[in-house]
Amino acid sequence: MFVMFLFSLLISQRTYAITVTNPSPNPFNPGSGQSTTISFSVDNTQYVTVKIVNCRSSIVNNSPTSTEWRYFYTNIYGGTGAVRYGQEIIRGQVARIYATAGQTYPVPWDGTSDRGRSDIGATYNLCQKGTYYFVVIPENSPQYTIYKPVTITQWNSNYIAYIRQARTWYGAYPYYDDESVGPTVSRDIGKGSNCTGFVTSVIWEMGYSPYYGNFPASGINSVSHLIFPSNQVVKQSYILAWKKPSSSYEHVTIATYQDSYGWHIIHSSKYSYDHYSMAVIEEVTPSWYSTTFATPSVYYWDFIGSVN
Amino acid sequence: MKKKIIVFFVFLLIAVFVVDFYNNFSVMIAGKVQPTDYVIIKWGSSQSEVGIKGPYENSWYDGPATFDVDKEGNVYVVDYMNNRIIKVDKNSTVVDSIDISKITSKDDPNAKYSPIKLITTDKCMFLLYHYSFLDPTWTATYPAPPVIYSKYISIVTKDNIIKIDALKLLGYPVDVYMERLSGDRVVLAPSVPPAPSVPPEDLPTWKGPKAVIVNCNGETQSIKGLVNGSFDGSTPFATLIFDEDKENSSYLNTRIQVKDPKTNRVIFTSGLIDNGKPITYSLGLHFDGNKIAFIYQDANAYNKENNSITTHISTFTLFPRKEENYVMVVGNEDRENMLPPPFAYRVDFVLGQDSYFYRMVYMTDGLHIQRFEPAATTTEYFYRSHKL
Repeated sequence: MFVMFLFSLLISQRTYAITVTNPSPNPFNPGSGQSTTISFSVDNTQYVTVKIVNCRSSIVNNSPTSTEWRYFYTNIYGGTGAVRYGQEIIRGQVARIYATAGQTYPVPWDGTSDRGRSDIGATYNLCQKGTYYFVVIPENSPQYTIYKPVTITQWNSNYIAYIRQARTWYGAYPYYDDESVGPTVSRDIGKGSNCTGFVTSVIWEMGYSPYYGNFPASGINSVSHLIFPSNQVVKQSYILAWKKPSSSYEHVTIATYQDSYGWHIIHSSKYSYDHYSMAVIEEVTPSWYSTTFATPSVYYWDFIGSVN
Repeated sequence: MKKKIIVFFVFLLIAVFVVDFYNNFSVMIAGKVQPTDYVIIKWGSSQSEVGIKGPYENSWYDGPATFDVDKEGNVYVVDYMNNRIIKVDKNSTVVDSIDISKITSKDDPNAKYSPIKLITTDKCMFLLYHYSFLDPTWTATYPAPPVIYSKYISIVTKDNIIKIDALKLLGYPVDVYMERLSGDRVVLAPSVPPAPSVPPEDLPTWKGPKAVIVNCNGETQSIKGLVNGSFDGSTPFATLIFDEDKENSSYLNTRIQVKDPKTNRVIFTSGLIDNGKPITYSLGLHFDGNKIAFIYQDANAYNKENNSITTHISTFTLFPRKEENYVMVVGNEDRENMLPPPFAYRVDFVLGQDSYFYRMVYMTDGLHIQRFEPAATTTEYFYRSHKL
């Protein structure tokens, strides 16, 4: 009887066994065409799904179901603040394989995301600097899911990369302005972002620690002595802060390109969320602002990051 | 015989001179001209009013989206809050109304729209707008259901609305513009980042059509290449000619040029706009086939001392030649009675079919459609060759 119990225990353990190798190479650089690969094997034939996320979770409140973690920044008072950053499913499905017990299956990932404006044909969907996780899920026993971290090196830090990274937020929603529990941003977990949460999170995703983090747009007034209000010339990737003359700043946007219709901006706004169900969109600068509000103050995204 | 030949050449010379003089003689009207109220519509939801809501975030208001003006000077306003397009005559009386609530389909979950630009013609109206709804096939609770989004054009008549997915037609560029063509048609043109300003790895590989022409029946014609700068080979278009100052991201020595689509011959070249000084911000180039309007700002647009914003509007009429230069200054006094519209792009400067240039502004007492008129200005007459 005891032997049978041990045997059944062995069987049950084998049923759930899954082994996953560490990603190789690690780190890797998708900007130069590199990809990274894991291999897995199962002891029980079943479907296995592999996806990529940008954080492992449970960092904020230790809940196993939490999908939020934090990044830190220097706030407007010189102290440290944190942004609740929602877990994003970078690739919903890198592979789904009917895995035969005992066989080894390699799964490569080329550093691409499901996000971004890949629809216009440009390489806007390559992930930037940071740690990402392979999530290997045996479908018959998902409680034995395995996470394997992999690091992407900074592969492009120029101004157009910042615009490209901003475009990976395209369509994120809702517009989220409630900071009662601390600033929260996300693309996937229904927390969205306000205008400044979006702008500074793009800086963070580029591998920089924002100097003044997720301030509300009006907070720029308090930090104007700390940062570079440069001349008023607008260039691609510059952060444009909008204010009425003799009033507070109200909105922050990123300039993407100019044509004969004006400067295009990418930004998160309550209006676009209310009317398009998307907080972050790219569009021509509203002419009303250009003709009635002060010329926007201009900030360099890489300075905001590098000053720290 | 010799005498006849000489007389012939003399007459030929005179004829050439007369034609050249006619083509190049210009009237220039210049001065600091503010727009004046043309039509005022009170806020509200009744038949004679236009809707507004707000303020949101202690600042902006949501209301009329965009407008157009027909040949008789009637104003058509997209009354977004009341889901209609209203026709307003010169006396500010609402004389007609068309329901556009059917733009949002009941089959699309949580469907929303937001107008960008309206073009009216004799037979129909073309409305370009954002359109979005939640993916009806989505069942998971995490991540959140994706938003299906595009920019649509609707052809609106009294009895019918035809919807066309504009971004899909064009192959999903970053943005789409709509311009008027002759013959009750519009052209949809894609906007993608200009190639020289992005590094090679980001050059779009998008291979969509150069444009799509749409008529009042909803029929579309894909345009693979421009004909002498024209989308349809018959409607001329105006283009900016400039030297790019990459350091300061501005235009230098800017002119506007128009070519005859059939011959590719330059039929109009403006003088140096603002005497060739740097233009830091283009706010749009409008052309109706005979009149051009160019809105721009220079590096001194914002005056910190008096909190004013200066915007320049230059208009050029091809036949007969006329040049008008307006300087619109918005200061503290002007802003006192203004209500900020949302942080979203909608066309609020319009070159009407009556060849006047108009502006839409939210004021505390209602919606003001203002007109740029050459009153109390200085007038000069001059000859300028339109050949560069």
